[in-house]
Amino acid sequence: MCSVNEVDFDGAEQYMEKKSYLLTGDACKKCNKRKAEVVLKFRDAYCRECFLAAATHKFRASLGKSKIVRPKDHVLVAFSGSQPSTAMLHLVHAGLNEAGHKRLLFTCSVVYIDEGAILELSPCDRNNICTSVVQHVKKLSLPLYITTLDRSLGDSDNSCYSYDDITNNIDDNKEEQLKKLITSVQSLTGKTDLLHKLRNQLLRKIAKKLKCSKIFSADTAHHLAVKLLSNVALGRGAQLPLDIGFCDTRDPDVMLVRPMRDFMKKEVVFYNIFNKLESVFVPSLGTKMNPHASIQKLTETFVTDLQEDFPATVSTIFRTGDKLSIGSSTAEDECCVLCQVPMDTTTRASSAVQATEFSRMISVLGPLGFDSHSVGTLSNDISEHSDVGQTVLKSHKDKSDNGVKYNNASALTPTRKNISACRENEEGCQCSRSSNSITLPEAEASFCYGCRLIVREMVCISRFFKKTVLAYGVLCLSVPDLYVDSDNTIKPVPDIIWINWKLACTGKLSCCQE
Amino acid sequence: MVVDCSAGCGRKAVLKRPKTGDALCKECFFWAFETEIHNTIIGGALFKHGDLVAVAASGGKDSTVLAYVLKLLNKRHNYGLKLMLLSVDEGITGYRDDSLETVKQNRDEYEMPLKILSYEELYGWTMDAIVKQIGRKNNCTFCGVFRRQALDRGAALLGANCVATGHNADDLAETVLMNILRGDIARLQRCTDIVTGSEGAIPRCKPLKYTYEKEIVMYAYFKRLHYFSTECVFAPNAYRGHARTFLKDLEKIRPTAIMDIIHSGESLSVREGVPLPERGTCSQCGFVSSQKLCKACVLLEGLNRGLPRLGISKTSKVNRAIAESNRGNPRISGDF
Repeated sequence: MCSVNEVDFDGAEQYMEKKSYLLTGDACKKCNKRKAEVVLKFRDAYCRECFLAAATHKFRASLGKSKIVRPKDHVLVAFSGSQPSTAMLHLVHAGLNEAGHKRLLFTCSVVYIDEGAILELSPCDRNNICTSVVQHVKKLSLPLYITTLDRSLGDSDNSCYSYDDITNNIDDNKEEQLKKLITSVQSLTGKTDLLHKLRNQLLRKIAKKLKCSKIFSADTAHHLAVKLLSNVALGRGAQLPLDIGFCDTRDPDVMLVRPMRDFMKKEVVFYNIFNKLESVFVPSLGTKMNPHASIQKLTETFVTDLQEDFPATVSTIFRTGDKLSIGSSTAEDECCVLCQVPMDTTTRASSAVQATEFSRMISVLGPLGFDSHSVGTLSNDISEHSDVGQTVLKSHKDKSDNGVKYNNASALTPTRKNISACRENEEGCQCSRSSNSITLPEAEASFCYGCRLIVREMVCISRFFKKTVLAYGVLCLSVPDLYVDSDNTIKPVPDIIWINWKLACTGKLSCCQE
Repeated sequence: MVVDCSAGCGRKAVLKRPKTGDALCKECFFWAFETEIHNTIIGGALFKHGDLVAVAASGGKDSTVLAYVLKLLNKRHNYGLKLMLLSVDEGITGYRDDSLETVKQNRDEYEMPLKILSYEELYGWTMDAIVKQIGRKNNCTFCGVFRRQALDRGAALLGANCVATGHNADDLAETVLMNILRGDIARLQRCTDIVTGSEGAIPRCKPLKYTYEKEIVMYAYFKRLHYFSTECVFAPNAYRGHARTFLKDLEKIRPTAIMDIIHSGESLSVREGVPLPERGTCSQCGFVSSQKLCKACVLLEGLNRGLPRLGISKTSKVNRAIAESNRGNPRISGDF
């Protein structure tokens, strides 16, 4: 057929036509008196006063409408130094100092997470950034806490501290661990995704420590539209309502709220200009990279470019997210260990997960190693239809331990046998697989679809990661204790050796010295 | 660099699979490609034994590979299906007339009966004539809407139990992105279904749903299948072009992105209370429609009345225009 998909046509095309507006006069659209200073949505001109009033109203309305934030709440405001978080901090501060009944009644603390370690910034640069953050927040006389990203790993007790010279608070050892973890992920896409998950985890930890029940995150509409689209591309469709919605409830004790979600990028920038607010520039993983460096970066460029020609792009994408809900398909209360969302990997007979696993399996087994009968046959009767799926699924399900929802019909099944076989045959191969260590597919089973993609990229899995994950007390990754040396002998793995995980799983164990 | 086949057959690999990253030799690739489609068919319970299946054939790579593989699997796994080719002639000179020759060639090679339906027969308009009326913009709307119905009518004519279309994984991922970009929640929800079609209508299925476009091209190339590869002569839809480029860029960064998008699409669920359009039937022709009149009837009416832009503008405007012209000239709707 033609490349244009026929299912889409019921109109709707007309919404995407390029429009141009002609602005006449220079009076504010709202008050019709003062001189307009900013044009929104390509056609609405506002004066400074009306614009600021509308922005404040927008912020307060988003909080008021939802009724999620209660008067006695203690709120943790996540401050990253960026334009949106600068604006949000200002809005919160203004709300807290409002007179009379308009005053916001909650109390708040501000947190800044220093991510200098993974950005390879010098201690001096990091200190400078922190100093500007401190100065910025001091002006508003709100309590500020500064912490470092490495504290998201393990169960460190003092997860944040009040401002001080940052260099005094850097734990070199832990930072090294963090760096290793991030660099073990191959692509920038995976790194960015992992960083995001770690950051959110740390925010929740700090909130709990400071006894905050809400976190304010300064995601704007533009930001969320990009996040929605990139999360779809990262296989995180099931979690969209949590990642994009007004309120992220994955942790019942600490909710992450996004009060800036109705703001456009331009509104934030002009809010800051009119209030003479300066943001703090903090580089991120993708800074100065080309647009094709990662999925997140590419999506951002794509949305920004499209928004230019089709001004409704951001709001349309964003509204799509509003119409979604978290699925009720998860029967058990299992959550991903990295991002704490309900698992989305239950395999149905016909699904992308199953199809990928099937591809992976037959690509390794080949025509000779695969029993084609295991796929099943076509049924004669409609009533049998649903059963067919079941049998297929069953035949694909390995004898996996119960509770493991991973479809084990993967390439890993035979090789797992290989590894254990080798262990039985080889004498003196001190294979001490303790009963609580688990294999790769089982380990992967603890991650949601999206996090699994990150984990699979970790070609080099450090022993540290094993420890870290152990520290969570949730799971232990089985980095094999043995490896095949170049002279084909099996040796125990020294601590500093990184295992090539992928190869380890296909039975061709190899290693590389650090 | 020469890489060995991942399946361990000892031969040299000829390609790297985008879905899994494995390298396969030609024979193992053919086998894997076919077995995966078999798995999709069984897993999705797409056909029943003895079904009459109409394969939507355009002469392009997807439908040619689909027809070839279905014939092969039918024999290999004893599906007991009766396969037929179903083509739609939109009446686009320089495009469809040539591709139909390819379809006829396929008919002879694969020994499948072929049925061709033309827009001219069904609607009294060829695409060439429509483009003359409407211009180059928006003409894809007509073509797409008319084809959807033409396939349904053709399948009914043949007495088929289901229609198999050549939509591949890339098409699906692109549709997911498009529906997000357009905020079309109803379609977003159902676009990843492997079998579509409401009660009464003949179901459609997509056996190539999990097959990458790249692999389809490689399969057709290595098998030396005859297919037609020319873009439609009329300008393609610009907005979809953006989505397509975006998807290809995503695939370059991370080849599994296509499957990841489909997974996302499959695991989305719509919040309760979101109004979804009700699906009814068209009061004029009886085909599935969310409006009183289906899109095809509106477009056709527009063409016949000399108001070709009728179906392009918003539904509310359409209803008003129809009401107005009915008041002015009530006889027309009787003629139609």
